[in-house]
Amino acid sequence: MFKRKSVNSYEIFNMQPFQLHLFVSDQESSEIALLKKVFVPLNGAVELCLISNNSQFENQLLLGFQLSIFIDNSSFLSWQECARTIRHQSPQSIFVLISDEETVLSSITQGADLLVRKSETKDLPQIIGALLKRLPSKELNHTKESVHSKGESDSNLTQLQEKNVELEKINFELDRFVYSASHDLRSPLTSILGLLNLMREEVSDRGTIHLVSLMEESILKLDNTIRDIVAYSRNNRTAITIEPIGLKSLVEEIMGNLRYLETGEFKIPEQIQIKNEIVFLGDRNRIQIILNNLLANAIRYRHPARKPEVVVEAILKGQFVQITVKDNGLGINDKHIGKIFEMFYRTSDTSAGSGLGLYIVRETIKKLNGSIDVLSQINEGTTFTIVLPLIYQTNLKSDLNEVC
Amino acid sequence: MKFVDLVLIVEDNPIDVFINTRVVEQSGLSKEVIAIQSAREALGFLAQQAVNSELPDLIFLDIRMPDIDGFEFLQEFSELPQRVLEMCKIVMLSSTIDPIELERARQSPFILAFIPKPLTRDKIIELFD
Repeated sequence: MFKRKSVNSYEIFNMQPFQLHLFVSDQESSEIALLKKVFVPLNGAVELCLISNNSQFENQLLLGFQLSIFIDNSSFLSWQECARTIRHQSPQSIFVLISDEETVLSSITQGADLLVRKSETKDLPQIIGALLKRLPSKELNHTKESVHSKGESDSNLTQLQEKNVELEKINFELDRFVYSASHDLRSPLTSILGLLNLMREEVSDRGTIHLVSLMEESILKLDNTIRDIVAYSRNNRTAITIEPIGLKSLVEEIMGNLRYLETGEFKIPEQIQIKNEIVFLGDRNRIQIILNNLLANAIRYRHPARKPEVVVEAILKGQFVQITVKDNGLGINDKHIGKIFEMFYRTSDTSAGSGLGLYIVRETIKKLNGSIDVLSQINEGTTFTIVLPLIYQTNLKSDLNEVC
Repeated sequence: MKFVDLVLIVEDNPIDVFINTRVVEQSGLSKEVIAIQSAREALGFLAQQAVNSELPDLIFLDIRMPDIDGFEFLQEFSELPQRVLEMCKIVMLSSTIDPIELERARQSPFILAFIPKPLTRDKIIELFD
């Protein structure tokens, strides 16, 4: 749950003022209306340039292109020709084609970075947001490239880049599918939770209320498993994206989500201490998955005999950030501690977890080239220490290996 | 104590309509609750009430709905008369865990808050804290 504090439309773009070129035949199509609605309120962060004839195109060619969107029915030039000319002039620019065309992949090999079907145009703002975030690293690749001699390596690189864009698009679609499927699985569960919640309000018989609680527990367990599978599938497929992360706001967001996971009496905000409020660079989604799992465990396995206390701390160490999550909970038995990061490993059948949580933590940290250590004393508490690099090379080749 | 006069629930799933209506009624949030099971009809209702009739103070809006979804609703909502935009505060209510949808909700200037389903009395109380 979030409550609005301030509106910051720039965040998603994370960038400097930006020119977006639209190739159109008439100035009133629904795609333009949509893009205007999205980009115009950004107060100049994105500048929309409409191009609807040859002379406008030629004038713009002198100035160069960053991101172009070609709407299929603009007729003064074929899009292939347009993409070729732009590519020649501004090799680092991104070219998006909006079309009814079914041959998605062939259009990509013909020079488009991305094809958006007309039926999908409502997703354009997200797609463009995602593309813009990637632009700086794309430029970086090009400066690196220019050191190489022209010729064979160049065409290999172009092929690799095309392949990469293709895979990114497939991954993007897979990602949409995972969320759609998980939504279809989860929404009946949230309905049942809603009904059980109403039932709890309407019955007074203690036996029935106990049954309601057990049902809630089972549903939450199933829901956690679905969330874990989504997190696992995302970690494997999505590229690393780096942005500044404020530890405090991240932990607060996680705690906001976690309070609905547990029905118990545990009041979260007072018990979580954030030791220092630094900002560091990292992959926000992945670090959120890691901390989400560790904090959920700290709450789940609290000690019944004392007030739970969880301390989250982040320290910068050269090119690394070290994050520790320390609790005063039940602790982990020596005979289990070597296995807690294994898939489906659970210390008991009655635990609320899916047996995936810490496995996902380890896999996510692996993906980020980091490390995790655990220190635990039974009945005293547990400390997880994570070390993550702050700098990632978004090297095209290694990206390709990851997605293949 | 009543906080508002009229709450509108825009939600296609009849079970969730039942839950949301009942929770709002029991919370004592509003004098009156109405539910409309299609976003398009809800927009029609708001347009029709826009001139001189009673408008909802609060709208609970689902995201995934057939025909027009919650985000498309917001787009068309932005074109309604000023009186509607000023009167009606929107709370998004969804079971989504999709970061893109959550981000879109966060970005929208019309969204007062996002509540993960199911709606409960505690979540309503928290809204007014």
